[in-house]
Amino acid sequence: MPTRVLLADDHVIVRQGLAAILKDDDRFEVVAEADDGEQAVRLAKQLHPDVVVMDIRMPNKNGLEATKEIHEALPDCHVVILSMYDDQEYVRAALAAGASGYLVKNTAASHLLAAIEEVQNGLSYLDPMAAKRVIESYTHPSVGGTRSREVDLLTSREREILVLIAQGLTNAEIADRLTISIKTVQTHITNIMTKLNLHNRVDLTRYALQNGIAE
Amino acid sequence: MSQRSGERMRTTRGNSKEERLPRLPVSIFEKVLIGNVAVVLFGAVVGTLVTREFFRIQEAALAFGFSFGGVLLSAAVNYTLLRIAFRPLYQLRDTISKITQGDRQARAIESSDDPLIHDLSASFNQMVDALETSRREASRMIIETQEQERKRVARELHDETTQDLASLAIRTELLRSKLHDPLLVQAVAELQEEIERTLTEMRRITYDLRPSMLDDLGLAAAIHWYVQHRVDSEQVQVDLQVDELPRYDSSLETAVFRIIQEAVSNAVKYAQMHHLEIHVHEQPSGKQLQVLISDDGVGFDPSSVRTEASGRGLGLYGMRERAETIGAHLEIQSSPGNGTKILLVVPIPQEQWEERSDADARLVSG
Repeated sequence: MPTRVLLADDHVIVRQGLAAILKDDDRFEVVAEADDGEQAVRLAKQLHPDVVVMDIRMPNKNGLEATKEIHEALPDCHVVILSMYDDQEYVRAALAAGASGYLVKNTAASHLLAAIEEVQNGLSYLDPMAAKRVIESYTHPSVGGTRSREVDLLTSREREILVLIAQGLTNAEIADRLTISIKTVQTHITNIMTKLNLHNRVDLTRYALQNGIAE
Repeated sequence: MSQRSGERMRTTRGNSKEERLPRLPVSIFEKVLIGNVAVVLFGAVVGTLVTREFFRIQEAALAFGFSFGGVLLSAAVNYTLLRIAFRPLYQLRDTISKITQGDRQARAIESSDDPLIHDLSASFNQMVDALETSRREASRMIIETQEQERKRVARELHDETTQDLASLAIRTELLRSKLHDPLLVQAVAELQEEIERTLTEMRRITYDLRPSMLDDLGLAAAIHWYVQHRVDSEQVQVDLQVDELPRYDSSLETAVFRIIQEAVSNAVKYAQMHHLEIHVHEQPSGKQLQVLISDDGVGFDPSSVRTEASGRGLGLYGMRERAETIGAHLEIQSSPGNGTKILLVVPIPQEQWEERSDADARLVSG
């Protein structure tokens, strides 16, 4: 029994090219073609293909979201992503969405059959270019996963003023202490409030105390 | 022909007439002062003459001395009084020159006792406010239009041209697999290489216009991709920390991405840095996004760069404008020799974080 394949790509000529490759080989059968992500999900649920070959950029629902849905609804159906891009970010996103294979469109013809065969057997298949990107992601700093630390938002001057506010000084007293104009003090305080997302002196004082800026 | 020359003659005559008019290089202040002094001088001289004529005082020199001293004294008093009286006008002039130098927040002081000056300052401020509002609106529209246009061209290139090329590549591959003549196989292989090169170039152009990742995968992926491609990690030690971010409004994602792009690109072009730090942190409450781009390079004087009409000056201007469109706080801290630190604090619109905290609550309760 041939492997049943669903093709999802909004570009008719690309789809035709892929269909032509699959038609030449009787181990495969194209059961349906989809124009967009929504249709791909609907057809997959209806026809239960063995493998879905899916473009990323599609109208209505993009290929990544569609992959996620198919992966959740039909665990036995394997998705091979077919993309214009070989960037690490796309490959990671595709694998995270549950895809078992990743092909870059322009070299798809030489890898398509092997990819479909491998993923149908429960294995994974990455285009050599995509595989290179995944390997690179281990040698380069990676995005996400770890939370970055809180950004140090205040300048040293602003910190100084925050301490004085926490000590209960008025704007005039602060201006006097730092020998700057009251207007400058006001500007600094407005900036501090914007940056810390706080709206009054009580909040500023509390923030300074809680964050060990003032005692 | 004759009509035109007649016009020209009239214009010429008009000009020469204007040129003949005496132009006094004196300010209103000086005119008033001179006028006042002239009045005082005339009074003193006439007074002295009259006094001399009628009372026959012999010490004319003394009388002239007194009147001369009186003139000087009154001129000095006049000067001081006028100076005080004209102060609001001087302040207005200073405000105007501040605005000319790029301080768009500067405004005239409206608290004058003189109703005329008060009205002048008030209407001046109104005018500047109105200009500022329309300027902002105009630059917001320019940025938006440019972004829309870039998006459209990038999409068209991706959806049409690149797809056609990809399909060409697929079909050529199919063709090659059916050929047996080694010469033909070789020829088709060369053709494939050419298609491949064109595709790579096409992708580069599309990404330069607008990285598709920004739309497909969001801000974090786009920042990550950009930094890796723009900064040579052999030369510069990069500390890139980007939180896993939710999807924000497209205009917010675009503005933040473009600001980071400009900041990183400036650092690469001008800073001669060894270390670059990029942190993108979302406050746990989800209400604020904090971005820090910091390098240890040569730094610059932000106030002098601001007036540069091209290159970096224009770039920094664009960053400020974009920050303004999303209500973000942008701070550029730099001085020659001390590196550059750029801070961007973006408030996340309420409906966006509320929506998410609702979803979180549902997850917890469900």
